[in-house]
Amino acid sequence: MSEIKRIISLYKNKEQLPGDIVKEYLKKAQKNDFNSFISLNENVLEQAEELDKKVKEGKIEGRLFGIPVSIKDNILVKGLKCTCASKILENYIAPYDATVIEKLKKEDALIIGKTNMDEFAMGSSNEYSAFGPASNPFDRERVPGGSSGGSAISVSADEALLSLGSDTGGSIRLPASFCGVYGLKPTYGAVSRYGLVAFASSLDQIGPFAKYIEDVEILFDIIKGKDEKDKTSAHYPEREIKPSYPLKIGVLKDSFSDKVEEEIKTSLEEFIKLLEKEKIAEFKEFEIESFEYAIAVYYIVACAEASSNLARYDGVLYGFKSKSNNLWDMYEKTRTEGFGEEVKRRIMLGAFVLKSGYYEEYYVKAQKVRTKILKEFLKNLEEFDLLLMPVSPTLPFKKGEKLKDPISMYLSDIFTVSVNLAGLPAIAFPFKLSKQGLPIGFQFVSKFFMEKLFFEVLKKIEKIIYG
Amino acid sequence: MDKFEIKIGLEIHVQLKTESKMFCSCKVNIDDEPNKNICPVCTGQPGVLPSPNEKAVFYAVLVSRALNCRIPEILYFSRKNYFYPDLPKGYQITQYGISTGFGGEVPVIMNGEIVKFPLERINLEEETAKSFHIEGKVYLDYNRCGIPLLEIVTPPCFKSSEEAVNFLKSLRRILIHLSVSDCNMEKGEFRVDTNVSVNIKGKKSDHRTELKNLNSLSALKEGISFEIERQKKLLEKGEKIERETRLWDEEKRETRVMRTKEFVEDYRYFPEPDIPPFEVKKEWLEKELPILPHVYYQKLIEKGAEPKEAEIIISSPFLSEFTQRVLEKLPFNKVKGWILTEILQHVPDVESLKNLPFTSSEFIDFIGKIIEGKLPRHIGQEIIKKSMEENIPLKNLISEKVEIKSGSELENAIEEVIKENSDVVEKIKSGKVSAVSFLVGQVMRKLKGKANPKEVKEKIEKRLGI
Repeated sequence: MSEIKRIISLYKNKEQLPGDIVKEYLKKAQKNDFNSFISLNENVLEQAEELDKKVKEGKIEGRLFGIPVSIKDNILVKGLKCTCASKILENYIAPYDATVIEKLKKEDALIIGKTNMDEFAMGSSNEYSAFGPASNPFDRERVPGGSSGGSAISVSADEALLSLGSDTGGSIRLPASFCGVYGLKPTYGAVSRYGLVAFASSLDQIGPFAKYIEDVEILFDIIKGKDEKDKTSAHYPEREIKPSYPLKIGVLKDSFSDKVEEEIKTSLEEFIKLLEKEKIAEFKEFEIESFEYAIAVYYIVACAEASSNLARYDGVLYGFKSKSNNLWDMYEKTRTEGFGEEVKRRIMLGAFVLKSGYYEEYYVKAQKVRTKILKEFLKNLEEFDLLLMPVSPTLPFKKGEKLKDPISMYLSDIFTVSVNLAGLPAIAFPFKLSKQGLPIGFQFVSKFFMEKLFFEVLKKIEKIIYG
Repeated sequence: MDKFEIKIGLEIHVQLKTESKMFCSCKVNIDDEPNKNICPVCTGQPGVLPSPNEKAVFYAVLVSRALNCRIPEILYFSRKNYFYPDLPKGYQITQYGISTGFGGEVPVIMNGEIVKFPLERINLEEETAKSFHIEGKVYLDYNRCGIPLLEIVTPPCFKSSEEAVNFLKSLRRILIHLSVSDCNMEKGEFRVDTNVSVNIKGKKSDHRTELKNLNSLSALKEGISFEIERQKKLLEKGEKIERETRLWDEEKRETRVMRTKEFVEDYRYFPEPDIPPFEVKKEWLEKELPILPHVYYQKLIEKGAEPKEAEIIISSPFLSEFTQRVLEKLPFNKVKGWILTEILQHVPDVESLKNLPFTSSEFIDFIGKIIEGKLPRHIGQEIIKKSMEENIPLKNLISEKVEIKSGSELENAIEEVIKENSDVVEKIKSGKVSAVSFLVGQVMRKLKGKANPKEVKEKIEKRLGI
């Protein structure tokens, strides 16, 4: 089931025009009930009109022809603001298109607007935004998850059909899970990062959000591939994936630890039973010894890189500049006033672990553990086709609940960060609603460049769950 | 005996002469109007990523090979983090921990000898923007930002300003011979920072001063000498030498404090995550190195050149090779005047001499004709002048201008001159032999200079029986 294909066939049959479709989505985006958008693309209706003409001429070619897409506000779209939800880039207008945006434009996608997020993608609740927190569409008192909260909401609440976000330590999967949609964190290097405002270069990946797995696949196929502008991007190996059922799936032992909310554990058991019953998979528990260090390692590596990546916001070339009499004063005031608390906390943490004298003890050691985590994952992936675990140890939590305690906020990412450290692909998928009506989702992890396996397996599961 | 121990270390930054910048495709041209050759990458816009310029890496490897450095199999870049307006990203991509070249040595020409001075490392990095201070305001030109830069660092191995300056001259010459940089100091393509530390022998101390703004070799020599004397005086008075950065004041001809180094900056280096480590390509290691200037120098000295003469020739890679080819056929003393005076007087800047209007074999033929007496010197000089000024190959000029008159044409001319100047002939016959040169001049005039004066003189003398 693909909403993209359904809409394009409407165009092909001349039953509807891109202008009509985009207006429906735009209406909701303009209402902005959940504060999911930071800015809207003012030219989208004009761009839709161009496509209307093509429909009338029968020239429907792009794979995303007339499909409304929202973009996380840390991905550059030429001519649109790119704020990263930060005061420091409040008025920054992107001078070029990110590689993924070039690819979307080539497929005639319609960019609705730029979505809310945690400032510079640093956060798990979308509360650290200079443009205010976003709300969970299932319960406005609760957070949508972060950092790509706006992207997840926009897809969940039909403000956009697809969205692109970025995942550094769970920033696609967590909000996808909290908002009940799919969110894919591709293999590191599968998608070009050129034009994604860097948070932690060795962990960041751009990835898709969608309501249907087939649409995730379509969007991923379009954005993946080597880009000469990104030396960390790789040629994506094209191969046929034919899963042989029942698959062997490993369940992370920590999924059932006392840190995980009861209802998530019971749902996971339910999910496992369903797949066993349907003969889709056989399950066995597995362990990652260094799992408990993943959060610490993640925050050392991510903050170190962030402290350097965010150094350019100093008031000299672009963005917010504070008034002052001398250079050093200008740097200090600009950065003190321009960055939010969480960003400053991470910059300081990063600068600290890179200090000479501490570098070996923190950064170098963290990199060693990082390698160990990857090795453990790969070892388990020799035995299993897929690894299964929750996305978050909790259901979507209430706004403000974790703001005073950064460590408990960091622990929301306990199941997601290790995958980024390993560079492996992972996908968050919705399973059911909790008793209170909040989405519960899980994630699969696979080998490098095996996203196709997710798509095949989840198409089958989607059919079973939703018919 | 001198009671002082002098240690001088050098850190040289060299702009590489690549087409495009280190991490983007912007043109390398600092002479263009400000901020013309810029793009999102070299101005550090959010979201950009660096793509290393292979040519620049190759150049860094080439220099490392020429200077006998150890080159690792795998290279990577690191980030050097600090804030400054000329640094748009807030960090410089450079090398740290791993250098393109480790160790190595520079063959330096010192008083006619080749002396080898050690190197510590050669790093490849990116250039910063250029700032201008005009009427209290700072202006930034990002044309320079992102140009590939080599950082060449020596240990504190020099004992005098002469050694340091000779080292720099030799290093510059090598880089010019490798065609990796023009090393124009005025344009800032070759910049030198200096550490000077004077100690009383036997006493351990870690003080040193860093000298900046030494923008020419003469300023370097003077600045270092000044600093050595300044530190000596302080030591003699028993005073402490501060660890500081001092600026060379070109007008007052002295160094003064720029900043004290109580606070050591922490650059928070870490490996650049945007550029994966990469292998040093085999082809970079196998490409044939050009002959280095000190090798040319030694050959020239062997062939009898004076050190000064040899140094002039090796300042141009082209002239070095040209001269070497000529010397395969002809002795140095037969050609040195022609090369060093006749040719070079028409060249404004020997270092940048990249070609001549004639080949070495044409030149060899030309000199051969002069040696054989087929071509008079003075005409040879005119030919060189015309060739150089009008860019005409020598062989065209020789065939057009010089066909030495001899045989009957020459005999006839001599007969005519003798007839026309019977009075002079009488004088000669009566003993005033020196007047023969007058007759030679007349013959030459008649033949429009196209004769060999020596031959004419001999013929006249023979004809007159003297």
